[in-house]
Amino acid sequence: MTPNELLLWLSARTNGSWAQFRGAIENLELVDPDEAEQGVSFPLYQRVRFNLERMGHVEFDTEGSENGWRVVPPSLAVSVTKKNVIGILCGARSPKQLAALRDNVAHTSVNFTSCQDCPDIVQITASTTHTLKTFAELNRLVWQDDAPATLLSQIPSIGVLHSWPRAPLPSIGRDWDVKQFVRKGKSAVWRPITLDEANAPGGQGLFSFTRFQTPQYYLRNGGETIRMPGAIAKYWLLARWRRRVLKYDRNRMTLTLPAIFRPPLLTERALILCSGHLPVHNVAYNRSTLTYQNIPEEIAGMAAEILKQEII
Amino acid sequence: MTVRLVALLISATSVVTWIVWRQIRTGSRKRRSVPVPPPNPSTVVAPVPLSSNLALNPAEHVEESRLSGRADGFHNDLRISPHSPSKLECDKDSHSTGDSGLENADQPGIIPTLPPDVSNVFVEESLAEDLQSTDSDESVQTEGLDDVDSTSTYAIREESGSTLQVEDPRIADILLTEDDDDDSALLLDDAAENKESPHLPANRDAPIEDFSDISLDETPVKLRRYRPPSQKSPNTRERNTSPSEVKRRVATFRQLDIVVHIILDRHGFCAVYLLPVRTADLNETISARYPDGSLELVAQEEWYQDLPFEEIASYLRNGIELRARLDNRQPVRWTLTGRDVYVLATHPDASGYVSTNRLVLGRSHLVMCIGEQVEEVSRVLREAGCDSYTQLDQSSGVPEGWILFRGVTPTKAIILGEGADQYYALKPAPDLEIEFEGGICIRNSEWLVGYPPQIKLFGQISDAVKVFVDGVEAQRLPDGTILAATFDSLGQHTVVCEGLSHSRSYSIVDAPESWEMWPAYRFSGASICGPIIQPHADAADNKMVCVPTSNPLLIGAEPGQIFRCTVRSGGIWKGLVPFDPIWALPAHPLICRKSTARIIQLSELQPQYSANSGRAELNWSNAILDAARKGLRIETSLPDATLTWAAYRELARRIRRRAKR
Repeated sequence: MTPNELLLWLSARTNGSWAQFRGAIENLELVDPDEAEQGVSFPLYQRVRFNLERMGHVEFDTEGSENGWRVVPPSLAVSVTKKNVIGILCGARSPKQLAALRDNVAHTSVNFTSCQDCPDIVQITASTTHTLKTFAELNRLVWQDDAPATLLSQIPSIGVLHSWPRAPLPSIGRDWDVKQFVRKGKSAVWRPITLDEANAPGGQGLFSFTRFQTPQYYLRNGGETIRMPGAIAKYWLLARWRRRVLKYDRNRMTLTLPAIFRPPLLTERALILCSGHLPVHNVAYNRSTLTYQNIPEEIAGMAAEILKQEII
Repeated sequence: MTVRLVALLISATSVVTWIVWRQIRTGSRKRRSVPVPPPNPSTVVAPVPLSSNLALNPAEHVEESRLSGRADGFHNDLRISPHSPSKLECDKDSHSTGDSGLENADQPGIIPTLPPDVSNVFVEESLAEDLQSTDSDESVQTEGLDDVDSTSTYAIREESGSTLQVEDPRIADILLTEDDDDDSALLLDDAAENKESPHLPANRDAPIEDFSDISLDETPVKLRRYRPPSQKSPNTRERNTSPSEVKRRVATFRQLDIVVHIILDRHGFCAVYLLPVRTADLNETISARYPDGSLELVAQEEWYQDLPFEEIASYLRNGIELRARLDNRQPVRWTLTGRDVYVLATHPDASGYVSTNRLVLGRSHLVMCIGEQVEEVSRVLREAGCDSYTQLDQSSGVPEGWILFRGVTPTKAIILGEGADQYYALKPAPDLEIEFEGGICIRNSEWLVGYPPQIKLFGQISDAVKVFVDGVEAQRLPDGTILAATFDSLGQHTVVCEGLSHSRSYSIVDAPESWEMWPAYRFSGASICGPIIQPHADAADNKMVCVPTSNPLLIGAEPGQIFRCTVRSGGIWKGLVPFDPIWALPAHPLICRKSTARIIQLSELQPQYSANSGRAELNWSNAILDAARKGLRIETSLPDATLTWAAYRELARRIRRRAKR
């Protein structure tokens, strides 16, 4: 099974459990038995899961898909550029629907681009919004106008901490791999610490507790310990440290940031929907970066505002 | 002399004791009113003690059959009675409670009776006078309680001590004129449980799991013969089973199998047993009965304990059925279908050999057949490539009339002819697998349309074998791939290897036509599902606006519609605004640089007068008047921008004047 077939399988099943998803990944032709030796940070099933999630095809462990996954209805995430209108196909796919996409191409161009650990990127380009809207109606796709901006306009800022649950740090257990997120020069790293050190009174900052390849993140701020997504906590710390990490290139329309500061899921989804492509991973001077393409300036600004960052 | 006297005394005492014991015993037997079957030469008469309330036990003559080992001499084995140990007992003298045969079961010379779940009800007669009944041990009566006085009262007593008084002698008549005493006991049991007269029809609202109204004799015991599976031509479609038929098949009885178990000792002597199948939800011990008697089943892992029968030869040939009732009142039956040929193979959960459906290539088996079939069975076994087996007969413990073939290891598959094959069990299927590879398997045997499986055939298969897909002969490639015309069309497909009783089916299904949207993430203004944003009702009118960050003050057509964009890095601000903005002004119009600052017109909508004069309206008018006072230029591509701006300025002045008043 290829990632494309995986999405067809997920779409035919509509929803399912995490175990079912992992079982399906085992059948992927991409499984590389030697990948553990190659220093790949995440196993294949996690990489595919994150990619499906970032591209807006499937939602994992959210409301309505607790401890499992659920396929998003077939939809067209639209972005208007100076030249044309671009629609990115998201969500469920079926053989019939894909065939129809190729047939109903009047005044539009449909591009299928293969992508690693991810289903093909289907990009539909039209000269006007009306043409693309007609295409979406013909193919029974849910229309989402100005998807990146609309998505970003609904996401709360990372500075809003009150919505995250307060939870004590794990204090017992041998299997925990505990790390603290600390500044190191111009960058930041995860520093391994002991369970006792993490639980020491007066400890502040972001802590990661990993067990069975599942990390949990806790932010200790003042007298509070908050359990929250690691990416949000990192940007919260960055804001506190007054560090800027987002670099925007107006000419290339790219947004670049250190890989360790990957944006939170929905923010990243919005950035990806600008082009339909996953960020490009680069390593220079032992620093790995992520570059998001085709990002309009206003979208970069919106993302920066959510992340409490200023664009460099 | 003394010695002689002592010996004489002992002899006399013995004689007197014997006479007394004999009288007591005779008196005890006179109280019986239940027919006693003629003694069977193979049975052993068990002495009945004086205190026993087994007086009406019809099973004085007990067929001895070893079930489990006990080391207490003559009665060291649990016995299988051909006439069930009494569950229904009438003893006119005994009014004591809790004095059942069960309590004496462990005493030597007392016949063990059934466990309380079946035999926990006794009928007592409370008459003072003796019953006019049998006067001889050997006499056989057909109507046990015909002579009972009409004024008699009877008590249906449970072991717990609760008693149900019954005045009508017909109750006992009903009980004892049943075909089988056990049924009567069960009938009484139900009645006692419900505190109803046992001879009246029960008027209950039976819940789904209520099996109380199902008698174990609902269907008469009709022993079945084994029928080998019938081979159908590949294009024969399976008949659909109607729901009513399915309902019928879900019999009131729970149906389980009995398998044959043969244990061979190191001297080659064999013992043949029957093993009733047990599932996890069945009782650990259960009393069952069969046409010739009753017995107690004790649980093992997958089966109940080995059952040895003296009539095993007959049961193997004609079949046998055991019936019992579970703790939840559900009736259950175990069936061994009679057959002339048995195939047995080793089993991971049993020592020795356990009966199985069919010979398997390369595996050692036992084959047991009736004497008349030996030649034909030998011929089929030779055809299957079995050549090193040995033959055992009755002298080696094989049941009478049966022959056992030991070390049967088939090496050749035999193709079955159409229809039922008498020697189906002896004809091994080829070591063949129909596999479905690739495609997109949605679940179990369902594949997505457009992504069908590749059909492959693995194992020992000759070129002569034909493979059919949906009844149409398919092409077989050297690598085992099967090619058929319509194998990928929507619907159910069946792959059949002709004559090899090998088939497998799969179906091709379409993907769903639509997928439901749901709020995966909920925020204050909208819900998000993938790339789809569903704004809440109160935020539905918000407009997406894109303005330069130099002009973050947005002015709408209505006084009061004023919005200040957030401070954001970059040159362009984009976001949701709660109204349709007409003008974008510098953040502070009065203190901006006049040479570069501009008023940007976003729309040409004329101002709409409002009578309100709150803080928002004042801010709205102040922003417009400040920009006008500064004399900022208007940047627009729309016509009549100056006139529109003048109209806004005029309205702003009026609002300010009104506020000053």
